[in-house]
Amino acid sequence: MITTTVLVFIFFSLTGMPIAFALGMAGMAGILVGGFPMVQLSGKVVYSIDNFPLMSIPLFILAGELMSRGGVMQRVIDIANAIVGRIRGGLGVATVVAAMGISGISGTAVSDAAALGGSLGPALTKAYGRSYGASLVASASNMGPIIPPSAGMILYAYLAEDVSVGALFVSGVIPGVILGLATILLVLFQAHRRQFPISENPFDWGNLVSAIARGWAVVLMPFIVIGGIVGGAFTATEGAAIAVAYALVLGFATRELKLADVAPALLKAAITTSIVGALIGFASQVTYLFTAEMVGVAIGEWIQGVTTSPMMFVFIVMVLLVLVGIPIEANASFIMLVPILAPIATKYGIDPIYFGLLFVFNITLGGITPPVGAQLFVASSIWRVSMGEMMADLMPFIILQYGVMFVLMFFPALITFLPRLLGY
Amino acid sequence: MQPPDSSPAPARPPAWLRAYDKFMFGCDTVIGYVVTGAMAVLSAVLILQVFFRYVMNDSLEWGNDVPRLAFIMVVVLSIPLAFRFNAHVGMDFDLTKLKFVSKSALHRFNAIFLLILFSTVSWYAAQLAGKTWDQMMPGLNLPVGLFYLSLAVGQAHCCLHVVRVLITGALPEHTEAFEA
Repeated sequence: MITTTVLVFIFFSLTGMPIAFALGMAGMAGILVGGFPMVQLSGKVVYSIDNFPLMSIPLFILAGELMSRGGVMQRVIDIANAIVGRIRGGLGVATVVAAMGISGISGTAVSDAAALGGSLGPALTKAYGRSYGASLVASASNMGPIIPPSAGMILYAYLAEDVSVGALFVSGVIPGVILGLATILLVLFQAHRRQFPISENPFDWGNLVSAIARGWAVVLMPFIVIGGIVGGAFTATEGAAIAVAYALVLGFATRELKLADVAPALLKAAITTSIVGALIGFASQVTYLFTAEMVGVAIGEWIQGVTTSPMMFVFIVMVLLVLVGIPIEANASFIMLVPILAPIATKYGIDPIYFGLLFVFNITLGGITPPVGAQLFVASSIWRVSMGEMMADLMPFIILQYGVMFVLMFFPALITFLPRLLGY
Repeated sequence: MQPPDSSPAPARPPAWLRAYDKFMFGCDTVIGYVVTGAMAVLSAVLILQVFFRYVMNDSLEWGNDVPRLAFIMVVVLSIPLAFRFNAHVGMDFDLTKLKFVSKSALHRFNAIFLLILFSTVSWYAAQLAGKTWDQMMPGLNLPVGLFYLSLAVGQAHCCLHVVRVLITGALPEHTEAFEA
């Protein structure tokens, strides 16, 4: 039954069928071979998405969308520009700083890439060329799912069941900052080596105060929302609802958000959520079959036969995820692999927060590896540059980000220090 | 100056296909309004729920069931809309690069199986809706069957899109039009 299920999934995935529906076909094949009632297929779709914490995903997407459409994101970018001032490669550094700020507002890398590309695209092209601008924005937007809030972390916590969303959120702060600082250093190094132009606006306290006066309310949002979730004041879904309310109030108060912007933002958030929802719903039957046949246990026993070292297990998983992240989209990777690998990690005695963050980090990096990098699609469509043309400029960022991931792997305290400090 | 385009103009689809497209466009528009409304209700009720819980120190009796229903409607009714924009994610193995694989034949092949999948899910979801129609949600006087009815409608709507792929052999163009 499991062999049939897996083969059907692989077959339809190879024919180009969307992964969600290939999983549905696999589930249906498993039901037929295993003699289960077919009504289970429809029941499990509804049952699997009838989950309160999952509701935070569309709300965080909506909050980011409202901020972006209303032009409020531009205020974060203005603050970043004012902080960086007049240095060689300053615009590149400002892009990374802005990405770190925007990451605290939206929950996905794709929306960050769209917001950054839309705002900074022309200036980056003028200063560094299309290929470098696209590569920088695609790479910097990877901080989106690592710095909270993060749709990927919500999905991981839902699938793994042994770690809270709040714990994962707070665990992403230090790695996100490290990733940001490492990217800034790389940009400065490249700017020096390639003689990028010096940014036009000199540092000026007046500019900075003015930018902060315009944008402080936007920057405050992640502290209220994420602080509330992490501090246990409210749940992730409630925090997401507050983020939507905040985005609406801010957008209308600044008169940057029009009433006409709201309906398209709602529809876009709904459609984006349905892509994740379809994966969750159609994968549920396959997950059920795997659980019934104890596939996870069997894989776990097999891996434990290969190595008893938790660190070696983490290393094997990281390499596996790098390979999986190349041809498979992030959400699909979560849905297929978290239910199998997270329980095995627990058996090895690995800290679930450490494993969860590394998992999310690794899958996120898949967003800038061709051929199925979601952020690459966004950046290449904004800059009208092919992925092939981007590769030379992109490669240093890819190497750097995987390097940061392996540093985090070997120094778990970088991930677990803050959660432990806050009592998780 | 651009050279004159020598490629033949795309053939105008037959009248019955245009009528079918018009019908599908109507369905997509109606479902688009429903989904937008459901998403608005989901957001509004959750914001209200937070307000009542933390400011009024009270909670809405229907504050759990309305978001549940709205969320399930948002997800299952938007699946065909994502299909319309070819937004569902797949692996990047392009079998049509193989000489013996025709793109339209492959799309039709997949469409046949998708039609089976969607119609099966829709049919059994409709049955579940019927069976659970008498059960009421705990905090709301609405039948539990509405969850399954939404799935049945969403999957039937998917069938409409798949039938078009089956007829034409072409997938909808991948577009971010829903972002506009």
